[in-house]
Amino acid sequence: MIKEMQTAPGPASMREGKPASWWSHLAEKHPVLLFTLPAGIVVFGLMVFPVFYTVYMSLHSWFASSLTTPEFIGVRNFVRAFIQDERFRNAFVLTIYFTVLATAMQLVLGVALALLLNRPFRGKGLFRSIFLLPMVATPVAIALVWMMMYNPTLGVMNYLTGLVGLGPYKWVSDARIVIPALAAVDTWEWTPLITLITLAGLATLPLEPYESALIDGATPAQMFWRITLPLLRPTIMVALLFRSIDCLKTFDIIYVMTAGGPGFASETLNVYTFQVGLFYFHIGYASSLLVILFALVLGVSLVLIKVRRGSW
Amino acid sequence: MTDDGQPGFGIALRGKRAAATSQFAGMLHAMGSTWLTPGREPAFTSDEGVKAFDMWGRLLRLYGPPGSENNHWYEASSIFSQGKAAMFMDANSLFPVIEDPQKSKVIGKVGYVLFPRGPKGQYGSTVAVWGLAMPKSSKNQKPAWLFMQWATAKAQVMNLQSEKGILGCRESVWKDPKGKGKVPGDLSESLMQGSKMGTPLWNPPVVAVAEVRDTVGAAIVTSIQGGDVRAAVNKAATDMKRIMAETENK
Repeated sequence: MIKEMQTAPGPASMREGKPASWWSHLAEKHPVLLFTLPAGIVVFGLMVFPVFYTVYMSLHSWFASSLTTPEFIGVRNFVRAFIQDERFRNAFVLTIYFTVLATAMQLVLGVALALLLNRPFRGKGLFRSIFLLPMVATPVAIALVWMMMYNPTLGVMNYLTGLVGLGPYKWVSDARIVIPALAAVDTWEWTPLITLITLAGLATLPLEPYESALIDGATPAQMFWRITLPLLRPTIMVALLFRSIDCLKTFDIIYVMTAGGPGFASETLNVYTFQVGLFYFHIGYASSLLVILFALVLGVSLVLIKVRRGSW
Repeated sequence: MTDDGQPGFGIALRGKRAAATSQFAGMLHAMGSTWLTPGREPAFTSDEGVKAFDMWGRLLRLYGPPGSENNHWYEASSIFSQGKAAMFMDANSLFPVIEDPQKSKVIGKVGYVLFPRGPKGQYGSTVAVWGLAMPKSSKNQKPAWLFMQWATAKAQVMNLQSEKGILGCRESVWKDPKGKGKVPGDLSESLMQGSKMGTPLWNPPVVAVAEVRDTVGAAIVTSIQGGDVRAAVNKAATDMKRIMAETENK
């Protein structure tokens, strides 16, 4: 390809024997290096550098509203997080609790919806589009609407639970049920993603196993548990991977609806890190919390990828 | 009960962690306590201080709207301006929300008074002004100083106070009938009184104020939830001491 370019007639200036600029020389000699450079700079500047800088900062103590420079303290930030910091432990547990609860609800509902939507019925296209709407809406707007719905005095949720004789609840103001209430919002927003991915998986399933199952007299329930679910497993695992990564990092709906409250009852790792870094100005400690969150997300992802490839 | 027969509440207050501390300061000082001792040790662990935390929580738990634990000024003032609460204790700068003809249902039915005095007659009012500050390290001190003079000059304060209802702190503007603008009479009167004997300690006087507010706010939330107030206040004091040691005298 490059040879062809060299033997082809060049631009007018080259044909007239004028010396080519150093720029075009360089482009001809190292095309791969030159043309990937802009993308490389962007990736390095916006992704690689911040990660390493965060790790570097996590080993320092720096209170950003003082005039002192960052002080190297080794792994003391991590020791503090795991041993002394109650709010960190609380946030860690809440993050896991929120993630498990939200992804479990989304998984069950999402797969069920996909199976329903996969059947032929009138207005299927319309229903599919409507089911995708929550995913398209802005998270902050969603959070504000849900906040109104959860309002213990004026909201519709207490009216609805009242109809079946339950409540009234304080929803996101009740330390005991704030996490399930927030997980419900996340579920409302993100179940469609699982539905979408599962529908794509369902479209690729082979028909033959179902035919032979019918001939052997299998019931629909048997077909679902023995054929559909095992065949869908890789697809569902991808959906689960996406959702658990996102849930571990959820910030928008929690911050808008409760800012971690009441007290610290819904303060997940990401919300806590935000407070520590951007409200308290402990940049070094916030960096180490970010590194821990990063490790947690990476760890969960690796386990899920392993499970997807493995046999169980 | 509210005017239209709907269930209403006795009082609306802030209960959200850090946000509540600035209004709670009134209760703290009225009860006869304060944030720090002269030796910069937490002072609110005294009996008076614990009583203040307990009172704030009890008011909201028994007579406030459910879910007060997450209420900021916005939620609390909405409840009051919708006529759902009989009393509302918050910053007087919020009066435009209560007097907003578009949204408020209580216009003309509200009286403004100073923060109630405590059991020994102590005033609880706080003078919560937002100021402009210039760090020593500023590279453009002269222009900054000129800007500060311009922004706080009588003409600016007069304009903002009379036109926009943003309450200023210049006595000369308050004495000028034009300066009072649309500010209700009893509000401007209580403000003049409050500015004379109110305390400027509307928040803990510490460097890491955001972090300490969250810590103190956690004790307020515990009190609203009906938890062990004394234990929560002691924990807030311990945390406050640690935060101060980490962030001050460096």
